[in-house]
Amino acid sequence: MSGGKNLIVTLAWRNIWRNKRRTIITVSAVVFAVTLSIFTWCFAVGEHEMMISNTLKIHTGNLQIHDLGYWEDKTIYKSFIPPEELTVFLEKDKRIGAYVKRLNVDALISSGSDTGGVLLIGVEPERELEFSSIKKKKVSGEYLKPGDSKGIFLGETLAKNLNVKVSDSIIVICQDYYGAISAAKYILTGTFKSGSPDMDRSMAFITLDAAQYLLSMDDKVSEVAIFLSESRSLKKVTRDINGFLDPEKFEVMTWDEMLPGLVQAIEMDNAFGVIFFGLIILVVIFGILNTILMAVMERYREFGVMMALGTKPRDIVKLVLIESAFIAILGIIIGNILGFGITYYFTIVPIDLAEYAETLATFGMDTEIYTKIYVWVFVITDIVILFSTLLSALYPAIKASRLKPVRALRYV
Amino acid sequence: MKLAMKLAWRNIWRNKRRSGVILTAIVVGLLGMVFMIAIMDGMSSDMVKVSIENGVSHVQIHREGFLENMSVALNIRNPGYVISKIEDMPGLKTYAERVKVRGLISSPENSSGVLIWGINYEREPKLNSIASYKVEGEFLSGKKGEIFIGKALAKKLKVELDDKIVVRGQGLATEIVSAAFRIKGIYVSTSPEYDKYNIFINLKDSQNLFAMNDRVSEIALMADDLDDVDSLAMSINNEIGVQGLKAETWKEIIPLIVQMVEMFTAFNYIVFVIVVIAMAFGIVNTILMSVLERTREIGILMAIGTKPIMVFGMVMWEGFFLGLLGLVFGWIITIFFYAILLKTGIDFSIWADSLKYMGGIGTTIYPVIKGYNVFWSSFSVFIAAVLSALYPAIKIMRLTPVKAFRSV
Repeated sequence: MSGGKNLIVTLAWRNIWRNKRRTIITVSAVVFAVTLSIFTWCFAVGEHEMMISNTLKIHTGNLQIHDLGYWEDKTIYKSFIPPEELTVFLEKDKRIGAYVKRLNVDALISSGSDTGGVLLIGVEPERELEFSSIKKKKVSGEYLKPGDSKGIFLGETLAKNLNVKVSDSIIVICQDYYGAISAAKYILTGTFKSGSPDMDRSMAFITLDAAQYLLSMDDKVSEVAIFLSESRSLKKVTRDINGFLDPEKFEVMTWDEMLPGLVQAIEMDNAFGVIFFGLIILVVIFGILNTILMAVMERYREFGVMMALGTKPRDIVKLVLIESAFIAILGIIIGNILGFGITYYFTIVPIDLAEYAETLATFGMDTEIYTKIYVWVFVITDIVILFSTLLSALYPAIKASRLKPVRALRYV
Repeated sequence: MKLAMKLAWRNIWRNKRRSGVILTAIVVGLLGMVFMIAIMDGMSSDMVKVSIENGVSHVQIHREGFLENMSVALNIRNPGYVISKIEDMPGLKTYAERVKVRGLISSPENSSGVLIWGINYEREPKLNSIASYKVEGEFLSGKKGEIFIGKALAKKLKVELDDKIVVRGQGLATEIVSAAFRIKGIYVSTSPEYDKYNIFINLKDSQNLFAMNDRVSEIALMADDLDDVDSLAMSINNEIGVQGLKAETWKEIIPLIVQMVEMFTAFNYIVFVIVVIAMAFGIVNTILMSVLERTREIGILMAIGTKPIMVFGMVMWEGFFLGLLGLVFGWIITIFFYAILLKTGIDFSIWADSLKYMGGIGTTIYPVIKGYNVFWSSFSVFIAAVLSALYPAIKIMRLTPVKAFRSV
C-alpha cells in the first residue's frame, strides 16, 4: 500500500459503491441542494434584472444629468440649458440608445369638477417614444403627438381621480419661473398604467415646449435622461460625461443613486436568498456529515488493517476526502443537469403569478416571470457545494487517520 | 408495542454521536425555518399595523365610490346622524370624522401635490398615531389657521415652524379655493413618502375652505379587536347602507398590503416544504444505517420469534423519538432566541429605503412566531422524521433471519 495516487482514487470509488443505497441517498441530498440553488438563484437574478430594466425603461433611464443639487431639491430654479458639448456627445456616441430632455414641476391639476396635485412633466414625444416603454403602458387614447402643445397624457389613477376621459379638457395651475401663478388648458390625449401606484397617481405629461411656455423658461430643462443601448457601459459613459461637464454646475446620477429603494429591495431579497440557501446547505451538510461519519466508523477495523500494513494517516485522510468528493461531484453533475432542465423549461413557459399582480407591479415586475440561465450561478453553486461537502468530511477523515492500529483492530 | 418503544429509545442512545449530529441538523433546520417565517410574519403584521395606525383605521365609512377618486362631491351629508346611529354599536372602540381633499401646497420657494386631511384634533389622535410623530412645535389645537406637516415636505418647501404656507384645492362648488395656514407643528412618521404627501388641518377650517358646511369625506372607526372588524362593518352597512354610504374594512382599503401579506405567506409554505425535504435526506440515511448495522441483531430477534410488525414498529418509534427529541431541543433553543429577539428586534436599517415599499414599516423588525408557524414547522419536522423511518422500517421488516445471519 505504498500510496499510489491512482490506488487511493480506485479504492475511494469502490468504497462508495459498497453500500449503494446509502450513496444514492447521500447523492440525492446533494442533487436536491444543487438543483434547488440553481433554479431559485437563476429565478431571482432574472427577476431582479427584469425589475431593473422595467423600472428604468418606464421613465428613469440608466442615468440622468441635472443642474447641481436638483435631485436633493427639485425646484424649477435648478434647471439648465443642455450645453452644446453634451448634446453633441449624446448624438454621436454609439453607446447611447436614446436620450430625452424633460422639465418637471409640481402643479395643481383640475378637470373642473375634481382637482389634485401632480408632477407635471414636459417631454419631447418623438424622443420619448424611442426611449421609454410608456407607449406600451397606454390604456386609452394616444400618447402625445410631437408639436401638440395642447395635449396632456395622464396616469390612469390620476385620470380616474379627476373623472376625465379622452378629449376632455383639463386645467393646470402652477407657479412659473418668476413666481407668478400660471394656468393653461389642455386636452386629454390618453392615459397610461405603469404599475407603479405612485407614478399612475401623480404623473402628467405635456410637451416640453408647452411646459417651457407655461413656466416662462425658454429652453431650460430639469433633467436629461439617458438610456444606454447596453447597460454594461454605464460606468464608462458616466465617466466620459463627467469628463467634459463642469462638476460645479451639473450632477450626473446613475439609476442606482436615483432609485435607492429598488437597489435595496434587491439587496434585501438577495440577503433572504443567501440566508435561505445557507440554511438548506447547513441541513443537507449535517446529513452528509453523518453519513460519512458512519461510513468511516463501520470501517475502523479495515482502516486499522490498512495502517498496520503501512498506509500513512495522510493517505487515510485523502481516501475519505476523495470518497466524499466523488459523492459531491456525482450530486453536482446530476444536480446541474436537473437544474438546467428545470430552469430551461421556465425560460420557455413562464411562471404565472397573476394572483399577486398588484404587489408585483409595485416592484416593477410582470406577472409572467421567465427565468434565465446564468452560467456563473451554476459555477458558484457547484463550488460552494463541493467545498462544504469536503468540509463536512474533514472531521470523519481526521478521526479515522488518528486511529491507532491496535485499538482499531480491537474495535468491533 | 411497549417493548418496541423501549428498544427504539435505547437504540437512539447507542450511538450518541450519530444521534447528536442528526439532532443538530433537525434543530438547525427547525430554528432557521421558524425564524425565517417569523421575520416575514413580523414584517407582515408591522405592515398591517402601521397602515391601520397611520390613518387607515379598521373601518371607514364613505359615500360609495369615494375611494376610487376621492372626489369632494362624494361626501357624507349628515355625519351627525351617521354617528348617532353607530355610536353605541357593540365592538366599536372609537371614531373620528375627516375631510380628505387632494390639493397643492405652496411656499414662496416651491409647491407640492398633497392630500389635505381636515381632522378633529381631539378624536383623531385616539385612532391615528399622527400626533405622536410630532418632532417640532405642537399638534393641532382646534384654533383657526393651524397646519401640521411632515418634515420631508417642510424641507422641500423650505419652510419652518410658524411660517405661512398656502393650501389650494377644489371646493364643493367646483371652484379652486385657497387659504393661508401657519405651521403649528412638524412630524416625522415611519415613511418619508407619507410625510411628503399628507398634511393636517382642523376639520372646521377644511369645511370652511372647501365650502362643505358640516359635511365630511369619511368617518374612520376602530374596533375593539381586529377580529371584530368584519362584523362591525357588516352591522354598520345594515344600518346606513340604504343612504348610499358604505363601510369598508382595512382589507378593502389597502388591498395592496393584503396581497403582499398573502404573497409572503405563500412563500412561507414553500419554505416549510423545502426545509423538510432537506432534513428528510439526512434522517433517512441516519436511520437506514443504524438499522443496517444491526441486521444481525434484528435477525436474532426474528429468529427467536419476534414478529416482523414489531421490528417495523421499533424502527418507526426510532424515527418518532428522533423527531420528538429534535422538536424538544429545537423549540427550547428557538424560544431562547425568540425571547432575546423580541426585546432587541432585528436591525434592517441598511434596507431602510426598500422597506418603504412595504407600507413604511420601521427599520427594526420584531419576529412574530404565529400559531400556524408553530404548527406547520413542528408538523413538518415530525412528519419528515416519521416518513424517513418508513423506508428503513419496511426494508428491515422483510428481512428473513437466514439472510440476516449471512450479512456482515
